[in-house]
Order: sequence, then C-alpha cells, then structure tokens
Amino acid sequence: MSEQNTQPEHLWFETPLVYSSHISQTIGHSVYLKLENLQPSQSFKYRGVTHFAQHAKAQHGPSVHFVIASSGNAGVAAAMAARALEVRCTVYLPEGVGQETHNLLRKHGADIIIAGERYSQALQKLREDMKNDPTAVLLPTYDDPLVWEGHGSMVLEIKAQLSKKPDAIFCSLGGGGLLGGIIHGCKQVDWEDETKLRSHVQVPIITMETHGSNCFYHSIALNTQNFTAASSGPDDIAARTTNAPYDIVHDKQHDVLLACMHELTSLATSLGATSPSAGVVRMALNRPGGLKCVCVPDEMSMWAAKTFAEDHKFLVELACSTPLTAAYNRDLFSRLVPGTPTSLSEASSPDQKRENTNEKKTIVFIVCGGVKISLDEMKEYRKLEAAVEKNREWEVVCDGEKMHVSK
Amino acid sequence: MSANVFPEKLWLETPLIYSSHISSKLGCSAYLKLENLQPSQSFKFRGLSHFAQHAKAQHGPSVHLLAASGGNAGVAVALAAHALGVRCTIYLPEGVGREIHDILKMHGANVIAAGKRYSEALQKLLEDMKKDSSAVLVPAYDDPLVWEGHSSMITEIKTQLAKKPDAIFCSVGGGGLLGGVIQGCKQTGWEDVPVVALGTHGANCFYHSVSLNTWNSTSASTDPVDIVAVAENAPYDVVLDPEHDVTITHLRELTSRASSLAATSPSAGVVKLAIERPGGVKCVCVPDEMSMWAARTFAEDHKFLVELACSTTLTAAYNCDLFSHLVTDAPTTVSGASSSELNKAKREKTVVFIVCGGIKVSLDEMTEYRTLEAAIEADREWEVACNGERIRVKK
Repeated sequence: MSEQNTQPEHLWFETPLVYSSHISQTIGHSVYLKLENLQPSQSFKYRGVTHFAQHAKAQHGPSVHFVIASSGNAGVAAAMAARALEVRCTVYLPEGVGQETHNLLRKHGADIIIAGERYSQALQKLREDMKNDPTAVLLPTYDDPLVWEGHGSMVLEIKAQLSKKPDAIFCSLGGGGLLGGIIHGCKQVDWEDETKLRSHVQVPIITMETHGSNCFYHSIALNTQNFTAASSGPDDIAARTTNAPYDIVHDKQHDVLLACMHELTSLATSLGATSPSAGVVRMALNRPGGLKCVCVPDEMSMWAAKTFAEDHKFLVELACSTPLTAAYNRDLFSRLVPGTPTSLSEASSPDQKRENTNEKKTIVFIVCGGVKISLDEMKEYRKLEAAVEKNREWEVVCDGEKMHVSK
Repeated sequence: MSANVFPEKLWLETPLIYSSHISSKLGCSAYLKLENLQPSQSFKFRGLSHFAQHAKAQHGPSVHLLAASGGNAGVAVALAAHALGVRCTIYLPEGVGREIHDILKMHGANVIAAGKRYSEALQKLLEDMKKDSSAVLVPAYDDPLVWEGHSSMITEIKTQLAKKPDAIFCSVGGGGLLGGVIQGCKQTGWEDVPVVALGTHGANCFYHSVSLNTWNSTSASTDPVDIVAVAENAPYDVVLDPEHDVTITHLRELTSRASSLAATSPSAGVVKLAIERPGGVKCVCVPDEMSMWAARTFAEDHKFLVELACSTTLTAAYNCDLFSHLVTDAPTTVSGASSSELNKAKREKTVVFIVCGGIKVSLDEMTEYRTLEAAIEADREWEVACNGERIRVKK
C-alpha cells in the first residue's frame, strides 16, 4: 500500500476492508467495513471525481479549469483532485455555507465563488461563467459513467481483500453515484448477472436512504408500480403526481421515470438530491431481485452514528451511518438479508439450526465517509434521538412495504 | 516488505496517510500512521500478538495466556488469543467499567476481577500462575519480543514513505511503543532519524527516568548514595536496574487523565535503548488539557476519536510553536535565509506521527474534556517540559 507513486495510475487510496468484531457479534454474521472515510478527501467521492478529473486533464491539457457547485463532499474531492493534478479549481457555493467548509476548500487550494441563496442559483452562476471560460470543465457530482467507473474500483478491491463473494453489500444512496459505482464494479468482477441466466452470481445490494431524502426510492417505486412489477411506462404521470411529494419526469435517454422531490427534509444532507441519476435508476431496474431499497428515519441514523462512534471511534456523518442502522439492529438486518433468523430463539430452532449450521453470512458495509459531522452535531443528534426514545419501534420502508422494526 | 519479515503475522499493515490538515498547519508534509485501525484498535496488537504467537509455538495449543490489564493491552491479548485459538484470562482490578468487560468477553477471554488496584490484580494473576502449568504471562510493554512486534510499524513506514522522515513522534507511557520505534529505526537504517516521545505531566515516569540518566544527572555514575539524595524531594522513588545499568523512577502517584500512559515505572530496557541511541530521544511532557485540545481538533479534522494517550502525540501536530521547538533543525532557526527559502525548506520536511489508537475514549469524555480545557482557556500558554527544560508554548 504505497502512499506515493511518481506515475500513479489512479489518485484514490486502496482502503482497508476491516473485520468488525462489534457488528459481527451484534448481528451474528461476519461483517466487514470498507473504510472509504480514509480516502484523501475523507469520502468515497474521491474515487469517481479523481477518475473523471484525470480523464479531463488528459483530454484538455494542464490548463483545464475544474468547476463544481457543491458545499459537500463532492466539492472537497474536486478541490483535492485538482490540487493533486496541479490544475485550477473553482467551487461555487450559495451564501450561508459554513465557514468550516470555506476553510476546508481553501486548505485544499480551491478558489471559491459565492453566488445566490440556493444551490441552484450557484449552479446557474457556474454555467454562466463557463460560457466565458473555454478551459472550464464541469465536474459531475454523481451522474456520469466515468464517476461510476471510478467508484467501482472499491468493488475490485473488496474482491481482492475478501476471500469469498459477499452475501450482501449495504450502501447509502443519495443521487445514486455510489450505487452506480457498486453495480459497475460488480459487473467487472462477475458479481452481476447481466445475462439474467445466472442469478446465483449476483451479489445482493441493499441501498439505504432516509425518509426525508428518498428520491431514488420513489423513482424505483414509480417504475415498478410500487415494487410490484418489473417495469412500468410513462403513462398517467399526471394522475400519479397528485398529492405526491414530487414531480415526475420521464428521462427519454434511459427510458425511466424520475421523482423530483419538492423538498428535502432530512438532516442527512449529503444524501440530499432532489432527483436521482437516470442512468443509475436504469441500472437498478436491470437488476431485478438484486436490489433492495430501504428508507429509515433520521433518528435511527443518528443512533447508529452514535453507536458506531462508541465502537469504532470513527465520527461519520448521517449519510454514512444510514446503512449502519442495519448493522446495529438485528431485526432490521434479518428482514433485509434473506435466510437470517430474526431472533436468537429462531436461530436455535431445529429447522433454523439445520439450515444455518456453518451458515454465517459474509456482509460488507460501505463506510462511505464524509466531512459533514462535528462533535457538536453528535451532541445535537443525541438530543434529537432522545426525543423519540419513548417509541419502541422504528418506522422503516423497504421495497414498498412499511415495517415496524423493534428498537 | 514487512510481510516477508513476519510472514504469519496477525496484525494489519496499517495505512500511512498524508494529512492535509496538519501539513497545512505546520507548513511541512505530515503523515499519520493509523494504528487505531489494528484489529484491537491500538498498536499494542502488534507486539502482544507477536509475543502470543511465540508463546503458542513454544508451549503448544494448550497454552493459557494471562495478562493483567484493564486497558488496550488486555484487549490486544484477548483478541490475539482468540485468533490463535488458545485460552486467555484477563485480570482486572474491581471497578473497571462494564464496557471493558464486554469487549474482553466479546473476544472470548475469561475475566477475573481482583483487588482494588492494578498491582493487586497482578498479584492474583501471579498466584494463579503457580497452580497452572500451561499459563504464560503476556507482558504489557516490557519485553524484547513485544518491541520486535511493535517495530514492524517502522518497517512498514519505510516501504510506504518515499523518503526518510525528518522526525517520528510517538506517545510514551511505560515505553513499549518507543521500544518498538527505536528497534524499528535500527532495523531500517534510521538510527539518525530524530524521535520525539511525548507523555503528560501527570504520567511521566519515562521522562524522569531518562532525565536521571542523562541531562539532569548530577553525576556520571548511578551510585546508590546519589540515588537517595536525588529522590528526597522528588515525586518518585528511585531504583537502580542492575540488568540494564540504568536508574528507574517509580512514581508515587499518577495524576494524568491519559490513563493508558499511566505506568508507575518504565521499562528499564527501553530507557537504556533511548539513552544509548546515537541521536537520542527527545522527551516531552505536556499538560492533560493540551492533549484534550489536540484530541478535539483531531476529531474535528480527521473524524477519529482518540484517547488522550494518543492525542498527546498530536499536541505537536497542532501547535506550531511546540513543533518548531521539537524539530530543532527546522530552518526557522537558520539566520540569513529569506522567508520564502525558510518556507520552502519547511515544506520539504517530512514528519510522521504515530496515531497509536486505543479504546479509552467516548463521546461523553470528549464533552468532558472540552469543559476541562475551557476552564483554563484564559491561560495563553501551555507549560511543556522538554529534555529537562521548562518551556512556555503559545496556545
């Protein structure tokens, strides 16, 4: 694992895949964590963004000027990628973004332009400026095949690091970039059934969002008649948007319906995409039976973040702790991973014993990382979680079903 | 590659990451060796699993590994025993928190709570050992095999870094980690790399021991008469270690919150290694509150929660004044150079901080540390000891 190469093929870091004693004991299976929080920009985004950036520099030359509108982890990744490639980078932010983000971007060598009150206005200013700058190249935050190809490298690493095929991969989902990467990577290592004739090779993926930021969940629901059909067409869009928390758009290129959320209410701001990548929605729909879409409450993610911090001593933002809700709640885990007992008593029943002898599953959680977390926020989350302490269950949705999961 | 030196090793080859945060703070290239990623969450897994493997090879699979530790050493031994498929019993004083008991049991160890203090738990362990022919005591820090295991981290750093570092920073309690760093530097031809060992004022047995044998010694010899005179007003008793021919301090009390550094006396072998090292070892003590402040800053930057024993090393990462005192050939002291020349020279320096890890930290403790640190916020300087000198470092 050399830190410095004089002629690196890629800029991202091969991250450790560590066995978690804590989580393995909690859910009774062999659990591994892919530590993307160790990337140079502290999130998995560094993979896809640097991959795209390297291609762009090769194509446009060293005078290329990267531009991006992002106050989050994509912006940080872009700034660091530009610095590593010794090219210019400008990050467009709306007003009101915290000083820590400004400091961090500057620390990594980016210029900052503040424009407008909302992200969309900052993006607008970016596009206007691009017209006057022939060297400018827009870095995509999640919706580009090169980005997915870069992210997909984590799956190649997992294959090399694990001695066997995992029984499930858990990941967060916002706009869908990470999922796009995982599916792309699965295709490269034969963990994807592209022929639809070898379903046994497919590694199940469980994607997790929060209730207040679930554009992907809604999009899949729209295309599968609420998870009941293989596909559905763009007819009667108008009827379906009545009373829905989103508008519906038909993406012609990928022939999918997309939910465009009216508002995002989750504190897991890094998941905050109003609409998902159409390309990734299409990839997900082409994977019948191989993808589960789950939404959990913010408070459950906060609780998972706290438990993860106490166990593993990592501070992770809510976008990252969202899939870890399944790592720390045996009830939720067993509902998401088929063939696992829901309780210890079930596990010891004669039928279960016969089925599960030596049947410890191998599970991988992508710890996607992210910088949007502080000690103060962890304290705040504790209060918010305590406010719902009396509820004895979490309300979770999975593939169209509402579930009450015991705390 | 370290894999060839220790082919059957249980420990993880940990990442050496470049820290943009610390590098931009200090104006040089700063790397972190992430020992918090070891299976037992601290560097101790290297040396203790190495010792455990030797014990199993020597005594067979029925070996029963014992350790007296309510801390990271106990966790490392339990996990190593689990990985090797051998029995393990950890002796703790009564009153050690439930979380430690749970972690030890999670790793398959038996736990025996005995006595009010660590020394009493150790006493019980030694008594039980007499009746158990398969029992082997795993030392927490004072054994050449343990240092050999720890030294592997330096071998890894050599492979991972493209150049020889200008300094290596590590924490020091009983001296186990330092022993590994010194041994590792010997093996990799880094005998001339400056090593800075940081402890806290309230847990500084190593500092006092080195002090007595070097810069503060009133005479060249360690004649027993001198020892009595030295110990009169000191917060420690003094003992001559005949095997290594060094004077060792036994602290009467440990007052630091950095509990994982809390050894009453250091390893005589490591004291010897330190004073015989050609470039020596720079010994530093910082206040607990400075370590707390470093832990908090590190958490906000790197999103790692580390215990005080670990953040003690990072006080030098986050305080430029302290750093430039410790990296004394830093070009800030070169007269006549232009500021851009100085900055360029500084930028070309490469330093490594060993992030030793450890599980003795919680979110509640981080909140408490903030309160303690705020209580002395009005002070504009930290009081630091370095190689016998008291220095005031700007906050």
